[in-house]
Amino acid sequence: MKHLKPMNKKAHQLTKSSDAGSKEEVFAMQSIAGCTTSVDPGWEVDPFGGVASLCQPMEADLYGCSDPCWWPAAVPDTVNTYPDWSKLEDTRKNWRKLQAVFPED
Amino acid sequence: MKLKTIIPMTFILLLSGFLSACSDDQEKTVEVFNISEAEIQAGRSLLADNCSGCHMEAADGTFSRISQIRKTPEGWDMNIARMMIFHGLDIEPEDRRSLVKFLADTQGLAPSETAAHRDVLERKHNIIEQGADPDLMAMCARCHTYARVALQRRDKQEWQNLVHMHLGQWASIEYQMLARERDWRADALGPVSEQLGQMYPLKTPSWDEWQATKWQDMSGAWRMVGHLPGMGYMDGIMKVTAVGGDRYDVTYDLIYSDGTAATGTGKSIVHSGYEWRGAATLGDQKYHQIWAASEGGNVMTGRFFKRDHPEDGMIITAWRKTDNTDGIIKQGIMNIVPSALKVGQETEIVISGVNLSGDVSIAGAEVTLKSTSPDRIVISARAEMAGSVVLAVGEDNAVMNIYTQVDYIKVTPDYGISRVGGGGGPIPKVMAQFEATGYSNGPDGLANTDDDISLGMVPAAWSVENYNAAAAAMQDAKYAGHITAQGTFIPAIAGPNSARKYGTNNAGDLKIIATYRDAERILTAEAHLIATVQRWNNPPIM
Repeated sequence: MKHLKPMNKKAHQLTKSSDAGSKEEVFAMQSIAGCTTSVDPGWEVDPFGGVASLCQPMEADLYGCSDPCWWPAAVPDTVNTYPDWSKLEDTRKNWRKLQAVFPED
Repeated sequence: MKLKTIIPMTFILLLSGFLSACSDDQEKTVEVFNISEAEIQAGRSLLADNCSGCHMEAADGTFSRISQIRKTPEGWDMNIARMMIFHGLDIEPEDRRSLVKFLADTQGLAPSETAAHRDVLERKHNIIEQGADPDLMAMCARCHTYARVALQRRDKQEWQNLVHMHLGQWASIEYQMLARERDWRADALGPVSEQLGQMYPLKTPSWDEWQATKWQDMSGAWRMVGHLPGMGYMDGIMKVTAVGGDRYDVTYDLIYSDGTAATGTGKSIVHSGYEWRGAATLGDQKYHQIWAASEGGNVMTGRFFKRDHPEDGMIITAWRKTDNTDGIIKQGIMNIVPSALKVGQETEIVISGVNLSGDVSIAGAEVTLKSTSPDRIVISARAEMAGSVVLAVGEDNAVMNIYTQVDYIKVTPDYGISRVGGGGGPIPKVMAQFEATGYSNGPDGLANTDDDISLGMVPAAWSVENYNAAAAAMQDAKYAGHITAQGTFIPAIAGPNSARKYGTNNAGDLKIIATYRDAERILTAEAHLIATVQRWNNPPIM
């Protein structure tokens, strides 16, 4: 990080948190079992253990992250596994059509 | 003919093929318990019919990839689901269930191999996985539970195959945080596969020994006690009738601590000799059960939860009271509610168990018998001196704590999660249940030390506040949901909310506050709740 300078508010927050030692606490895999913690950002929980830094409303750019398989355990990835899941034209309007994908018995 | 069948050499060879690594001397002498010839034949036919199009069948009866792994019933079911999704497998639901049964019986996990990860298997909500290797957590559990890994058994080559599958299927796996800082592919295929192969190998003494143990029929009358977090206790009877193939018809007769009763029926199946899986209907509510039987088959523990809300359920202990032929099998005290008695306060106490008889006493307390039966005794008790004393029913006894005051309370879970849902979408809300527990400081008089004594659930008033300044700025407490008098947080609906800044979701970062009044004293405790977004991928092992 010594060659990188924070450019925006979130980056400043991350740097501050990292300096204070709190960032490590929250993404040291202490999240609730099953939560995706690829914290850039995570799906459920942000690097600070909260929700303020998540991409929300998530419907605004859902496919932007789910297409490249960013959280495949929680959100269907549409490159290989669930190609049809990204056919909705505007998830902000049509999010109610997004279906669960695990084929129940 | 099922148990302790001496099977012909051809079937010994077939079974050894499934386990892939049986030694020569085993092939000559093995006595296979628990699985009949007909079941082995039927399972092999299912594999050949549904899987051999892709999985090569070798001359020794093994199928490529399939025969080199062991899993839980849920793990095998997820495997079949994956074949449906990835490769278009078209399989009848009944065949899918039969394949899960066959694979879990012949290539399952022993009780000791699942013991450390039952919370996740039982779909307990708000579990924080502890104690695993941090590197394996970063490698695997940054996307899904570590339990999903630890509930499989493979040798190194098969773990490497699993890495290749992940690389091929999920394009960004090497570029995510906690992966891009390392040579992920080399690490995953090298030291990580090596480590997993050593920690969780295909062939283990535990599984060999469990296969050589006689698996028990579960028929009979069972006494059940349960705890509903935040709500109270359940006390009941379950009658189990075998219908063949490790399947059972079950009836339920339950009573809850608020006095309501529930009856119902269900069907259950036992996989791998101990993995009890049940589906039940009580009133108009459908439930699932994920329980494990003890090795002797007379005790079961696990969760009994709503089918459509796995987060809403009770923790169960069941004792086999009688089987269909003998007298009482297991007797004694199973549960005492409340588990602690306040000095100077007349308190009604329910003692649940099996074949309870004899005088009821609590050392140092006055006891009045209110009702009695072999399953359930209700007393009223009053004590004048604090301490840990013996509660006795005839020759059975248990520890009862007598206390002067609740010194402090705690909220569990201390870090929880709920998810938005509904709102016209197909994904239901995921609620979060909190519970306040009272504690005595114990002999040292200090809070939060090892000698503190749990006094059980206490009735608390519940409230919600913003967790921090960022949450206050977004008014999370106003939008993210509300908490009931029983400590159930009910999240708000899914979807963008135009009333919120940026039209953001009804997510929130919240403080859950419990307040307990003990005479003039007011005790409070807090927990942290992440009220977050829904997920669309909900397999049985998260």
